[in-house]
Amino acid sequence: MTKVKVGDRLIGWSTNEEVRSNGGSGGLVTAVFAAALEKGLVDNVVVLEKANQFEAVPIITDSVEDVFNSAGSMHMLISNQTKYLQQFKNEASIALAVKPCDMRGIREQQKRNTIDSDKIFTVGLNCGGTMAPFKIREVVESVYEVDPDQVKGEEIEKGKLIIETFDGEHHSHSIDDLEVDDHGRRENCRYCTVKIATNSDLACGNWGVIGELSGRGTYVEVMTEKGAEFLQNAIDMKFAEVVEAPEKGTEIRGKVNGVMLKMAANTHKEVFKPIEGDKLEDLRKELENCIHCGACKEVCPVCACGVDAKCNKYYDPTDDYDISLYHLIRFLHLSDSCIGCGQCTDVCPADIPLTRLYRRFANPVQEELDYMPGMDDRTPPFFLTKLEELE
Amino acid sequence: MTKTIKFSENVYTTVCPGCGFGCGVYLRELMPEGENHILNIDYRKPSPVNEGKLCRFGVKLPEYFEQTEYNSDSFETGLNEKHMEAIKKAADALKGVKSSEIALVSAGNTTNEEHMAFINLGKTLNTPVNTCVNHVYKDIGKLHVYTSGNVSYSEIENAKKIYLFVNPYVSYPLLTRRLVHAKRKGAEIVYFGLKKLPIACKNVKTKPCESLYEVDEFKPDSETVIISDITPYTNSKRISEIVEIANPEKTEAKLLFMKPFVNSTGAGHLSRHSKQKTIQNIIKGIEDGTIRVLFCLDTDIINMCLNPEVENVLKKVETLIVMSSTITPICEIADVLIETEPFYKKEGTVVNSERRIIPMSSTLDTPIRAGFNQINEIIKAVGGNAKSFEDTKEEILSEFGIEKVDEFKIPEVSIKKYDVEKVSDKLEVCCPADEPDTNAKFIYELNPFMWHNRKDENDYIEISPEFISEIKLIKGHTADINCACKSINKTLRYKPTDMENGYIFSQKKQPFAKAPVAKVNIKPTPLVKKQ
Repeated sequence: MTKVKVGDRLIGWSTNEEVRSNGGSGGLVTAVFAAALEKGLVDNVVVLEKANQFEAVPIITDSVEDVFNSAGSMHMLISNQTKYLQQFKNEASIALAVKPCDMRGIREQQKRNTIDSDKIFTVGLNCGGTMAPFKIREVVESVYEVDPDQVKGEEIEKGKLIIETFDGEHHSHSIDDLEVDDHGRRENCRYCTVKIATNSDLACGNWGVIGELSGRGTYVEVMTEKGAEFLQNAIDMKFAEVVEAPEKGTEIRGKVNGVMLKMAANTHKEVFKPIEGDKLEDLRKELENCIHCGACKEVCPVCACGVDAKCNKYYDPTDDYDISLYHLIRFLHLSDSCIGCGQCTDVCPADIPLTRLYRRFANPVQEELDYMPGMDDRTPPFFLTKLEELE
Repeated sequence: MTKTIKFSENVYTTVCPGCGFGCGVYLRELMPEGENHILNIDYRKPSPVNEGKLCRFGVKLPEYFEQTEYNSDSFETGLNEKHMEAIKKAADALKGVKSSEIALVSAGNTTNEEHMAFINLGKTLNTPVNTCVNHVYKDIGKLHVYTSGNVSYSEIENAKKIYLFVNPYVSYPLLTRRLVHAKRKGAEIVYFGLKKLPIACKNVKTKPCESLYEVDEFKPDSETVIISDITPYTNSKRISEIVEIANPEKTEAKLLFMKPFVNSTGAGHLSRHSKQKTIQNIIKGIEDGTIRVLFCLDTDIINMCLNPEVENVLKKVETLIVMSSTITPICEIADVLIETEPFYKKEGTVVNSERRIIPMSSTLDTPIRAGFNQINEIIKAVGGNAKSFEDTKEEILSEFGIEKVDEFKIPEVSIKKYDVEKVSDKLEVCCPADEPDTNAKFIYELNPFMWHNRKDENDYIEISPEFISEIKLIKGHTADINCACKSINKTLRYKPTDMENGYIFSQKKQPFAKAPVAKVNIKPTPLVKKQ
């Protein structure tokens, strides 16, 4: 095969049979990371250390063996990797697998110079949505009637959440049905419009892997020169093999994406239907239980303001405003850059649907400015706004 | 790609030490080669207690640990030369006095394993471990059954009626989301206090010392979950009345008592059969010379008490032994200081207010058990039999009647009677109650920052808008607050809050209030004319 280049659409897998069998969809991602470490293209790879099927933490390693030993689904890893990367302060070269929203956060931070794109290599994984780990544990027990400790793995396929148990049995329920009772994906995932991480170096997933390679290969779209270099390295080092993706596979991949996006559009319409009555009162009511913990800012992958952030500076705990300036400033400040990743809602101790509130402000602004944060290198519009232009 | 510096990383799956709620959290320790470690939090979303959510204290945990921990790298075993020297001094002091002259204190700021080892030390010395929280009952045998956790947080969400005696936003912030869920499901939430809480459907004005027999709205029944708390400052009369009126055996009302320290419930349970002393008794014992050695395990009595005079009393004890994972005021005056690993690094278990046993672990190949090892060394030095970590774990499982730790299941525990010395059931007041020159009552709103003596943006008071008008506080200016005897004055900012007239609240320890409720005088700070 000729050298890998940007735009290539391939099916790949690990040449290590054990990795190919144990890893997700043929172990290509594992192979690319292991080869990059072995060759010295990166110093570290982020792997998932699993406590159980419902709990895993990202942790860096410089060991090829650790990379081979780590493999698995990211549906339960719902933290955004942007904040994880930022703690290294650009002093480490790191390869990691990301969801599309992770990558959107990373790209927004690259624009703010807190993450150096030269220091990271990203493999984007298709994402139909993620589930809150504790909630899905409860669902496994109450809806699937399966002992959570017997769960070996899970997968989202053809609109179903499939739970595999150690006895080899597959248990499935329609995601639509689960979501009627709020038992499925996180709300922001249900209306997310980026399912394939085309904003990363390599966009990988199992959509479009058909025939005898189904379950034993990964569909990969090469998005950047760095992506081509890393994949070529894995092939040259005999860690991975690839073949050209069949046209039918590409077509199926597009169709799956299309179905997902259609579902997302419907949910979007439902979630963001116009507020009846007093909008300000609605907002006040939503925020009345805020305890001002600041967690929503701490986890926000596009916020780069630090301790001197305007939202903190203009907020005074002795104020008795109906809606605190902290929130009002953040709604405004993030309206061009919010990526709708759901982290703020996830961590809110008062269960305020913050992502929905941020998106209420961001949807019209981003539409008006024709800006989709984290998807390309375009400068955030508010960075460019000058007062004289507004006059 | 440019080559850069090497990093290694440990992740500790631990519990926030802010209060007894038991919030799960990951502490991520990043170690750049040749540089100091960097601490960050990760939100532990699989936790059955908090699903990763944290309050303001939890969000600031890295700052808390970085400012209070001892040199983190010296705790592989906890038995280096410096540690062993302190351990020997502690053992010598304990051996040099009678059992009755020793007071061991552990309020629940450490793991069950360390607390159990401490109990083992107590058994060797023939003296109980005092937990300092269980003193509030008039009749401990009668009440303890109801106060050591018999309602899970998820039961709150399914309650039809909730009676609140704590301000969740301030004191136990992670309760808020449980109450939000309950309200969404149609629960009627009634708050008995002096503020108007947005979460409550009804706010019933109830003064701190008021008898609940006189509060008509307090009518618990089988559909009611009552949420209160037990702290070193709790008014025992209020607790008694809650239990008496609720009468769970008859009405089937459910009671949940929150606790202030991360392992208050676990420590309370493990020490339940011992005849304990109260803090007041211990302080009195030091003053009259009957207590000659005080040994505090991760318990800072100075932080715990509102009256700063306690520090001078503690200085009088012949030997003050402090074993601590954090740098706190009591460490400064200790005669013997045994430094231990920070709480997040500890391996073991804690029990939260709903009686859930939560394991703490790490990605380290060899777990850190420095504090546990150190207590065992003291046991050996005073002639006792130290138990291994594994045996201690087994003993704890047996105490809780379980075979293995499963944080997703709350164990049923049968509670038996036990006894402590009785104390006054009156709330302390630091100044004479009939002092004429006071115009307000000051009340503390307890919270993790206060228990741990940490700075926050909470150095202000809350006061009702009507009271602001009445005493003519000027917007944008400050108020002067005096204690009743006028010996202490402080100028503070104020926040208008929907609450009862004639009261002021603070979430921070204030010099003019040495008791949970104190009479004070508040007036506008005089405006200074420009020269």
